[in-house]
Amino acid sequence: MRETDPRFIGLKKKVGLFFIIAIIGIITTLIFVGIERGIFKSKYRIYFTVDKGTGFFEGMPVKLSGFKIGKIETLSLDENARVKVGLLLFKKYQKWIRQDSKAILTREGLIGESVIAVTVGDLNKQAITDGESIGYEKTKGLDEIVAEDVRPLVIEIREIVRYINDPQGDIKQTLGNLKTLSADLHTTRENVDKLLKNTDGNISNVASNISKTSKDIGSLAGNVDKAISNIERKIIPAIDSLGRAIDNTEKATSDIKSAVEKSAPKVPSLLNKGEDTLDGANDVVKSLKKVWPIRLFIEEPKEGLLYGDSYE
Amino acid sequence: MNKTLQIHDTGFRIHDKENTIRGGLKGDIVHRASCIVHYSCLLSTVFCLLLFGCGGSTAPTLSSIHTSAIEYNRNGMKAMEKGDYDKALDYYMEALKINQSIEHTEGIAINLINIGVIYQLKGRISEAHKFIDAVIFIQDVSDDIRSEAAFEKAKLYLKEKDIQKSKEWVSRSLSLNKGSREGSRWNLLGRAAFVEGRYDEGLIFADTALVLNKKNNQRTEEANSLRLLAEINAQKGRYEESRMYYMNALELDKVQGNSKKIVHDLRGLGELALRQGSLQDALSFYKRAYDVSLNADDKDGALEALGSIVDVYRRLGDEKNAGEIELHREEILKGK
Repeated sequence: MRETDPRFIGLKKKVGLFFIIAIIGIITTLIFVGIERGIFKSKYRIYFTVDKGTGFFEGMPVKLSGFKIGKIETLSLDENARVKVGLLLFKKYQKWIRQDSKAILTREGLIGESVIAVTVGDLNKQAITDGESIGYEKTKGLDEIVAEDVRPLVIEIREIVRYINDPQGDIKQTLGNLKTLSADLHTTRENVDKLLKNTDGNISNVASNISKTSKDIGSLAGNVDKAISNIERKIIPAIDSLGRAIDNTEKATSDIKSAVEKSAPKVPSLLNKGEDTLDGANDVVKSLKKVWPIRLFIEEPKEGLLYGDSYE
Repeated sequence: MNKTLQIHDTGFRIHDKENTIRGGLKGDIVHRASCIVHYSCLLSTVFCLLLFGCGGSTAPTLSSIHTSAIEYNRNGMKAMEKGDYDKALDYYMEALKINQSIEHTEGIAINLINIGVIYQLKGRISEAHKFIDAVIFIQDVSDDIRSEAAFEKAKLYLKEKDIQKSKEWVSRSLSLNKGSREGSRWNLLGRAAFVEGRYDEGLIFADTALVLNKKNNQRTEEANSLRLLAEINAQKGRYEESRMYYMNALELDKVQGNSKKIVHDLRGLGELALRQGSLQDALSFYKRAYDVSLNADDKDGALEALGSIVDVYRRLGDEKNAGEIELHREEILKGK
């Protein structure tokens, strides 16, 4: 019977065509993926050896100046039980990898993935060819950097705060001494006042005695009296300003003391703020742990036993 | 026009002499039915997931004081991983105190053992005995924990060279529990036999331990078995076997990332090379041991390795290098 429904006319051809297009599409996709992943690029192999294989894994990217130039192909132990790390690199970058090039295990940023960074070698030296080895340079991990650099800083800050707060320390002692000094200056000022009053009285007596004994020098006594009055007029403001200076010193001393007393306890609290932030993050993680389905994958927390080692 | 309608189980067909029109009974009805089935499945899956989520096992809830004890214990573990014994001791002491305040027997026993282990590592054997003894006298703790305490007692007696008592405590440990840690007990028996100079017996124990540790996936103890086999074979003059065992132990220790054990293996290989008269090989192994110790901040290990390097240089007649290394060793000793 002849097929008259237009939807079914040439159905076999249509299905065949559709199938061929799909196959072509899949092959094209595979080719593009292959090109993208560098499967068709020419490659060569080099290696380096390390004492420990910790941190390395097969497929780990190898980068040169931030560009991916290959990956770790193999990890194996050599005859001296050192770890031999085999790299599969694109041939086009071979010219940059010279005999003095070094492989470095590093991390991209603080929380980025671990990569092998290969340094650009001296162009006067020979390029590394297939099967040759390059050197390995050990780098410090984040924890080591923190341990080495940040911890001493924190310890130093704590030491400074302790030093400032120490009642027997130089700063507290100096503040105490300044206070005593300002009190002493008060006494000194009172003594100076007394001395001037006495001097004033004595000079008046001398002047009257002189006027009695000699009229000729009466005018001189008057002049001396005037001069003394002048001195008195000039010295009293000076003494007043000395008093103000003492007051200012005392105020400044008390300001410094209160500033130190106010700020010193804040420094440890600032240090502890970081810990508080971490505690906050810890709380969030704890809450997340209670959420289904995450909680299904979390074991019941219990105390851990230090299993003894038969060789220790 | 004479048209005929045919209905069959997959659809219908209207046809005359020239044309045929098909209709998909199946296409329509089956499509609708399959949609209903799909949506039903989807809905029931979502419903099941919700039911599972709401009714599934709830997160374990512990009192805050229990949690606090666990946190101290875990911080102790972290400090131990970093090799900070003093800090770990402080944490375990605090965990012990909390557990004692709520009479949590298991927690008390665990932290007593942990403190005992640290004292042992610090070389304070009498204190270690006291803490482990305290566990032995606790009645209602699991055999697993009691077995571990007995094992620690055996280790302490071995350190004190009291081989007989050490063996007794290993037997006690084995009688209490033969779990995944059984291999470690056989390793200790092997070490006791090795210390006594009973090498054949030691080999049997170490072989047994090796099989058990492999079976139970106890990698650290497996490396210990291999190292013990290497040491015994070296004593028996079987250098090639010894070297093979050392290399296998080294491979495992590298996987575990245990620097101290790596140093033990490298030093063992160095001593083996010395016995075989390969001074250059010995030098190379000792230098590697020094590098590992230095980078692991193990000054004692580094000093020991330097001492061995000086010895090899002297044997090679290289007084200049021996002198330089000796000076370097003294500098490290001063800075210690």
